[in-house]
Amino acid sequence: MVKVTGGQRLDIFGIKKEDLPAVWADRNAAGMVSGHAYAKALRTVKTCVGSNWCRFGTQDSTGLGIKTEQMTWGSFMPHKFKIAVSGCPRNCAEVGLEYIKKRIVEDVEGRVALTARFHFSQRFMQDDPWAKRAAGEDYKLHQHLAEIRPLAAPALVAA
Amino acid sequence: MSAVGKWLDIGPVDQLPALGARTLPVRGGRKIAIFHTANGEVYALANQCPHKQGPLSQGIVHDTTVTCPLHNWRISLVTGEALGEDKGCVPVIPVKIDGGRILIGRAAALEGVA
Repeated sequence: MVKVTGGQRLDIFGIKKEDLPAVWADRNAAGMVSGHAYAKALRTVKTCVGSNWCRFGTQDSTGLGIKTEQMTWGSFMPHKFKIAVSGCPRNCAEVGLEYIKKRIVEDVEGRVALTARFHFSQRFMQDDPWAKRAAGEDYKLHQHLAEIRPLAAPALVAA
Repeated sequence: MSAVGKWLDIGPVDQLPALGARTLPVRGGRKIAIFHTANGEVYALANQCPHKQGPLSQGIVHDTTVTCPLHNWRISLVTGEALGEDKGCVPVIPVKIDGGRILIGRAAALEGVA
Protein backbone atom coordinates (compact mmCIF):
# COMPACT_ATOMS: atom_id res chain seq x y z
CA MET A 1 0.00 0.00 0.00
CA VAL A 2 1.13 3.56 -0.69
CA LYS A 3 -0.34 6.31 1.45
CA VAL A 4 0.16 9.98 0.62
CA THR A 5 0.03 12.03 3.81
CA GLY A 6 -1.00 15.63 4.43
CA GLY A 7 2.63 16.73 4.42
CA GLN A 8 3.35 15.31 0.93
CA ARG A 9 5.01 12.27 2.52
CA LEU A 10 4.79 8.81 1.04
CA ASP A 11 4.16 5.82 3.31
CA ILE A 12 5.16 2.69 1.39
CA PHE A 13 4.19 -0.53 3.12
CA GLY A 14 4.93 -4.21 2.64
CA ILE A 15 8.46 -3.90 1.24
CA LYS A 16 10.56 -6.99 1.93
CA LYS A 17 13.92 -6.45 3.62
CA GLU A 18 15.78 -7.96 0.65
CA ASP A 19 14.12 -5.43 -1.71
CA LEU A 20 15.07 -2.35 0.34
CA PRO A 21 18.37 -1.44 -1.40
CA ALA A 22 16.60 -1.42 -4.80
CA VAL A 23 13.79 0.71 -3.38
CA TRP A 24 16.30 3.20 -1.94
CA ALA A 25 18.07 3.33 -5.31
CA ASP A 26 14.80 4.03 -7.18
CA ARG A 27 13.78 6.75 -4.77
CA ASN A 28 17.22 8.37 -4.75
CA ALA A 29 17.16 8.46 -8.55
CA ALA A 30 13.85 10.33 -8.34
CA GLY A 31 15.33 12.83 -5.87
CA MET A 32 13.33 11.52 -2.92
CA VAL A 33 15.82 10.63 -0.20
CA SER A 34 14.38 8.03 2.13
CA GLY A 35 13.91 9.24 5.68
CA HIS A 36 12.43 12.67 5.14
CA ALA A 37 8.99 11.22 5.80
CA TYR A 38 9.86 9.27 8.97
CA ALA A 39 13.36 9.99 10.28
CA LYS A 40 14.71 12.28 12.95
CA ALA A 41 15.32 14.91 10.31
CA LEU A 42 13.69 17.70 8.45
CA ARG A 43 10.42 16.21 7.25
CA THR A 44 9.10 17.06 3.80
CA VAL A 45 7.94 20.66 3.67
CA LYS A 46 4.17 20.92 3.97
CA THR A 47 2.46 23.53 1.82
CA CYS A 48 -1.02 24.67 0.90
CA VAL A 49 -1.75 24.73 -2.86
CA GLY A 50 -0.99 28.46 -3.02
CA SER A 51 -1.84 31.09 -5.62
CA ASN A 52 -1.52 28.52 -8.42
CA TRP A 53 -4.69 26.71 -7.43
CA CYS A 54 -6.49 28.58 -4.66
CA ARG A 55 -8.67 31.66 -5.26
CA PHE A 56 -7.61 32.97 -1.85
CA GLY A 57 -3.93 32.31 -2.43
CA THR A 58 -1.72 35.38 -2.54
CA GLN A 59 1.70 33.75 -2.89
CA ASP A 60 3.39 30.76 -4.56
CA SER A 61 3.59 28.58 -1.45
CA THR A 62 4.34 25.30 -3.28
CA GLY A 63 7.25 26.98 -5.08
CA LEU A 64 8.73 28.22 -1.82
CA GLY A 65 8.15 24.78 -0.27
CA ILE A 66 10.17 23.12 -3.04
CA LYS A 67 12.99 25.68 -2.68
CA THR A 68 13.01 25.11 1.08
CA GLU A 69 13.28 21.33 0.65
CA GLN A 70 16.14 21.74 -1.80
CA MET A 71 17.97 23.93 0.72
CA THR A 72 17.37 21.77 3.78
CA TRP A 73 17.51 18.17 2.52
CA GLY A 74 19.92 15.90 4.34
CA SER A 75 19.53 17.71 7.67
CA PHE A 76 19.30 14.74 9.98
CA MET A 77 18.89 15.97 13.56
CA PRO A 78 18.43 14.67 17.12
CA HIS A 79 14.69 15.22 16.68
CA LYS A 80 12.27 15.46 13.80
CA PHE A 81 11.30 18.98 12.82
CA LYS A 82 8.86 20.32 10.33
CA ILE A 83 8.62 23.35 8.06
CA ALA A 84 5.45 24.47 6.32
CA VAL A 85 4.48 27.25 3.91
CA SER A 86 1.07 28.91 3.76
CA GLY A 87 0.11 31.23 0.91
CA CYS A 88 -2.32 33.44 2.80
CA PRO A 89 -3.39 34.31 6.36
CA ARG A 90 -5.97 31.48 6.40
CA ASN A 91 -2.94 29.30 7.04
CA CYS A 92 -4.03 25.98 5.50
CA ALA A 93 -0.54 24.55 6.00
CA GLU A 94 -0.85 25.26 9.73
CA VAL A 95 2.35 27.28 10.03
CA GLY A 96 3.55 29.13 13.06
CA LEU A 97 4.89 28.75 16.58
CA GLU A 98 5.16 31.93 18.64
CA TYR A 99 8.73 31.26 19.78
CA ILE A 100 9.91 30.42 16.25
CA LYS A 101 8.19 33.49 14.81
CA LYS A 102 9.96 35.65 17.39
CA ARG A 103 13.37 34.18 16.48
CA ILE A 104 12.93 34.01 12.70
CA VAL A 105 10.35 36.56 11.55
CA GLU A 106 10.85 39.40 14.01
CA ASP A 107 14.59 39.13 14.72
CA VAL A 108 16.30 39.99 11.42
CA GLU A 109 19.88 39.87 12.72
CA GLY A 110 19.25 36.59 14.52
CA ARG A 111 17.74 35.11 11.37
CA VAL A 112 20.79 36.02 9.29
CA ALA A 113 23.12 34.48 11.88
CA LEU A 114 21.06 31.28 12.16
CA THR A 115 20.89 30.98 8.36
CA ALA A 116 24.67 31.25 8.11
CA ARG A 117 25.11 28.61 10.82
CA PHE A 118 22.68 26.26 9.11
CA HIS A 119 24.35 26.59 5.71
CA PHE A 120 27.74 26.02 7.34
CA SER A 121 26.52 22.80 8.99
CA GLN A 122 24.98 21.61 5.71
CA ARG A 123 28.40 21.79 4.05
CA PHE A 124 29.45 18.79 6.16
CA MET A 125 26.15 17.03 6.73
CA GLN A 126 24.23 17.17 3.49
CA ASP A 127 24.54 13.61 2.33
CA ASP A 128 22.19 10.73 1.69
CA PRO A 129 22.73 8.03 4.35
CA TRP A 130 21.17 5.38 2.06
CA ALA A 131 23.25 6.11 -1.03
CA LYS A 132 26.01 3.60 -0.23
CA ARG A 133 23.56 0.83 0.56
CA ALA A 134 21.58 1.62 -2.61
CA ALA A 135 24.84 1.31 -4.56
CA GLY A 136 25.38 -2.18 -3.20
CA GLU A 137 27.31 -1.83 0.07
CA ASP A 138 26.50 -4.66 2.51
CA TYR A 139 24.01 -6.06 0.01
CA LYS A 140 24.50 -9.54 1.43
CA LEU A 141 22.97 -8.50 4.75
CA HIS A 142 19.65 -8.45 2.92
CA GLN A 143 20.00 -12.01 1.70
CA HIS A 144 19.94 -15.43 3.30
CA LEU A 145 23.25 -16.48 4.81
CA ALA A 146 23.02 -19.79 2.97
CA GLU A 147 20.46 -22.44 2.14
CA ILE A 148 20.30 -26.01 3.33
CA ARG A 149 19.03 -28.47 0.72
CA PRO A 150 18.86 -31.81 2.51
CA LEU A 151 16.98 -33.70 -0.21
CA ALA A 152 19.43 -33.09 -3.06
CA ALA A 153 22.22 -35.02 -1.33
CA PRO A 154 23.89 -33.35 1.66
CA ALA A 155 24.61 -30.21 -0.37
CA LEU A 156 25.05 -26.74 1.05
CA VAL A 157 25.14 -23.63 -1.10
CA ALA A 158 26.72 -20.53 0.39
CA ALA A 159 25.17 -17.17 -0.47
CA MET B 1 25.11 -41.42 8.96
CA SER B 2 28.52 -40.76 10.41
CA ALA B 3 29.87 -40.20 6.91
CA VAL B 4 27.93 -36.96 6.48
CA GLY B 5 29.16 -35.52 9.77
CA LYS B 6 27.49 -33.99 12.75
CA TRP B 7 28.09 -30.35 11.78
CA LEU B 8 27.11 -28.20 8.82
CA ASP B 9 29.40 -25.37 7.72
CA ILE B 10 27.16 -22.42 6.83
CA GLY B 11 29.74 -19.73 6.13
CA PRO B 12 32.16 -17.28 7.76
CA VAL B 13 31.30 -15.37 10.94
CA ASP B 14 32.17 -12.03 9.32
CA GLN B 15 29.09 -12.31 7.10
CA LEU B 16 26.91 -11.68 10.14
CA PRO B 17 26.08 -8.06 11.01
CA ALA B 18 27.05 -6.94 14.51
CA LEU B 19 24.03 -7.10 16.83
CA GLY B 20 21.92 -8.55 14.02
CA ALA B 21 20.86 -11.76 12.42
CA ARG B 22 20.68 -13.51 9.07
CA THR B 23 18.41 -16.27 7.95
CA LEU B 24 19.07 -19.78 6.74
CA PRO B 25 16.19 -21.50 4.96
CA VAL B 26 16.06 -25.28 5.13
CA ARG B 27 14.38 -26.90 2.17
CA GLY B 28 11.42 -28.88 3.42
CA GLY B 29 12.12 -27.70 6.97
CA ARG B 30 11.85 -24.58 9.06
CA LYS B 31 13.83 -21.38 8.61
CA ILE B 32 16.73 -20.83 11.00
CA ALA B 33 17.92 -17.45 12.33
CA ILE B 34 21.65 -16.98 13.07
CA PHE B 35 22.31 -14.24 15.63
CA HIS B 36 25.47 -12.25 16.36
CA THR B 37 25.80 -10.67 19.82
CA ALA B 38 27.81 -7.61 20.91
CA ASN B 39 30.47 -9.97 22.34
CA GLY B 40 30.85 -11.65 18.96
CA GLU B 41 29.08 -14.85 20.02
CA VAL B 42 26.90 -16.67 17.52
CA TYR B 43 23.60 -18.41 18.31
CA ALA B 44 20.96 -20.13 16.20
CA LEU B 45 17.24 -20.46 16.82
CA ALA B 46 14.24 -21.47 14.77
CA ASN B 47 13.11 -18.20 13.17
CA GLN B 48 9.71 -18.22 14.84
CA CYS B 49 8.58 -16.69 18.08
CA PRO B 50 6.64 -19.25 20.17
CA HIS B 51 3.92 -16.63 20.70
CA LYS B 52 2.58 -15.65 17.23
CA GLN B 53 5.41 -16.92 14.97
CA GLY B 54 7.06 -13.50 14.64
CA PRO B 55 10.33 -13.42 12.64
CA LEU B 56 12.98 -13.38 15.39
CA SER B 57 15.72 -12.65 12.83
CA GLN B 58 14.21 -9.16 12.46
CA GLY B 59 14.24 -8.54 16.21
CA ILE B 60 16.66 -6.46 18.24
CA VAL B 61 19.60 -8.37 19.75
CA HIS B 62 20.81 -7.33 23.22
CA ASP B 63 23.08 -9.30 25.53
CA THR B 64 22.20 -12.93 24.82
CA THR B 65 18.59 -12.06 24.12
CA VAL B 66 16.50 -11.20 21.07
CA THR B 67 13.27 -9.22 21.30
CA CYS B 68 10.55 -10.33 18.89
CA PRO B 69 9.49 -7.48 16.57
CA LEU B 70 5.80 -8.36 16.83
CA HIS B 71 4.91 -8.28 20.53
CA ASN B 72 8.17 -7.57 22.35
CA TRP B 73 8.66 -11.04 23.77
CA ARG B 74 12.24 -11.49 24.93
CA ILE B 75 13.77 -14.82 23.93
CA SER B 76 17.02 -16.19 25.34
CA LEU B 77 19.48 -17.02 22.56
CA VAL B 78 21.13 -19.57 24.85
CA THR B 79 18.13 -21.64 25.96
CA GLY B 80 15.41 -20.49 23.54
CA GLU B 81 13.13 -19.85 26.53
CA ALA B 82 10.88 -16.80 26.71
CA LEU B 83 12.05 -14.48 29.50
CA GLY B 84 10.05 -12.56 32.08
CA GLU B 85 6.42 -13.46 32.57
CA ASP B 86 6.01 -15.00 29.13
CA LYS B 87 6.01 -18.76 28.68
CA GLY B 88 7.28 -20.55 25.59
CA CYS B 89 10.37 -22.04 24.02
CA VAL B 90 12.02 -21.80 20.61
CA PRO B 91 14.07 -24.75 19.32
CA VAL B 92 17.81 -24.04 19.71
CA ILE B 93 20.29 -25.22 17.08
CA PRO B 94 23.79 -25.88 18.50
CA VAL B 95 26.49 -23.62 17.08
CA LYS B 96 30.26 -23.79 17.18
CA ILE B 97 32.85 -21.57 15.59
CA ASP B 98 35.84 -23.21 13.97
CA GLY B 99 38.51 -21.13 12.22
CA GLY B 100 36.14 -18.20 11.71
CA ARG B 101 33.43 -20.41 10.19
CA ILE B 102 30.00 -21.07 11.63
CA LEU B 103 29.08 -24.72 12.16
CA ILE B 104 25.58 -25.72 13.18
CA GLY B 105 24.33 -29.07 14.42
CA ARG B 106 23.04 -31.10 11.51
CA ALA B 107 20.39 -33.06 13.38
CA ALA B 108 18.82 -29.98 14.99
CA ALA B 109 19.00 -27.98 11.76
CA LEU B 110 17.22 -30.69 9.79
CA GLU B 111 14.55 -31.33 12.40
CA GLY B 112 11.13 -31.51 10.76
CA VAL B 113 12.53 -32.32 7.32
CA ALA B 114 10.57 -35.18 5.79
